[in-house]
Amino acid sequence: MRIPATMAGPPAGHTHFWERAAANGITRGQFLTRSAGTLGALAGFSLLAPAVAGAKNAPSSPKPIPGGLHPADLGLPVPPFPEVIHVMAPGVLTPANSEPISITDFNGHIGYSIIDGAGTGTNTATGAKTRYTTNTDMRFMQGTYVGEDGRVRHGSFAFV
Amino acid sequence: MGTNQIHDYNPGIQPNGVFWTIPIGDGAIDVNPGKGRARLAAQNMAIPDFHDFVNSLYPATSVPAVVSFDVRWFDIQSRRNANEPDYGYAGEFVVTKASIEWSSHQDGFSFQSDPASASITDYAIVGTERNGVFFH
Repeated sequence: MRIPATMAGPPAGHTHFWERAAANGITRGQFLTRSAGTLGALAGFSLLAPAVAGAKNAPSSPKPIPGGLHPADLGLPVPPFPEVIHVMAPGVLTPANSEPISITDFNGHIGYSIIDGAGTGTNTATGAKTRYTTNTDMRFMQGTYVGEDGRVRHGSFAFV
Repeated sequence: MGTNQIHDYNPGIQPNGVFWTIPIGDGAIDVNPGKGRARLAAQNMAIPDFHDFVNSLYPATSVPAVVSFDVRWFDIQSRRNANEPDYGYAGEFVVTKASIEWSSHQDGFSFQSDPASASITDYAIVGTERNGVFFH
């Protein structure tokens, strides 16, 4: 759920964040072509917290899809950025027939939505209100999956 | 709250690489793929604000936030049966319209989207899918 900017006009026609990612180098369909572009915000990343060393998923956790997008295509250094982020964006960044969900070894119901809109933000200290555009990528998965421990389970998941 | 302020609410990337995905109660999802209808709704879910998309790709700084959302899929546009060995999945999908109404709250800032009726669908599908070991 994203608030990319203050509102300069009606929400119709503004670019979705996946499209902006594409404009910054991620190519549609082919994810191995490194962009010559870089992002100006990179200088700030040195101030970010280090990776969580040794963190593990619970045995019941689902597993990621095997493929995905390559941050290097955004001009992001690998490491510290992961080589692959295990997600695709059918119909907006990747082909319409690409994988619409984020977990593998799954069999069940799914929903996938890319929606633009607008809304009002409030500075809770001053009460000042500002109009913003919004992008959302909301998905769900509900059904049978194989967890990290190899067991077949039932689960419901939200992609937010 | 100046111009170009950005908020990016997502649950982050799990240690094994699962992207922006978290367990949710069965009752949060109501789906009828044959009719092209579904609903995903939750109230006061703790989802951090990573500020922007790129920042969220790295184990980055974030601030605590709470979000509520109500997403609906409706109005069948077309149907598509998929068998995609290149991507490793198959499924039966309905292309639909979709809407969302959502809000967020965090220290110093709150947000309320416009009503669901103001949503603009870029792309939406609902259906059944099998991938990985269930595809092969």
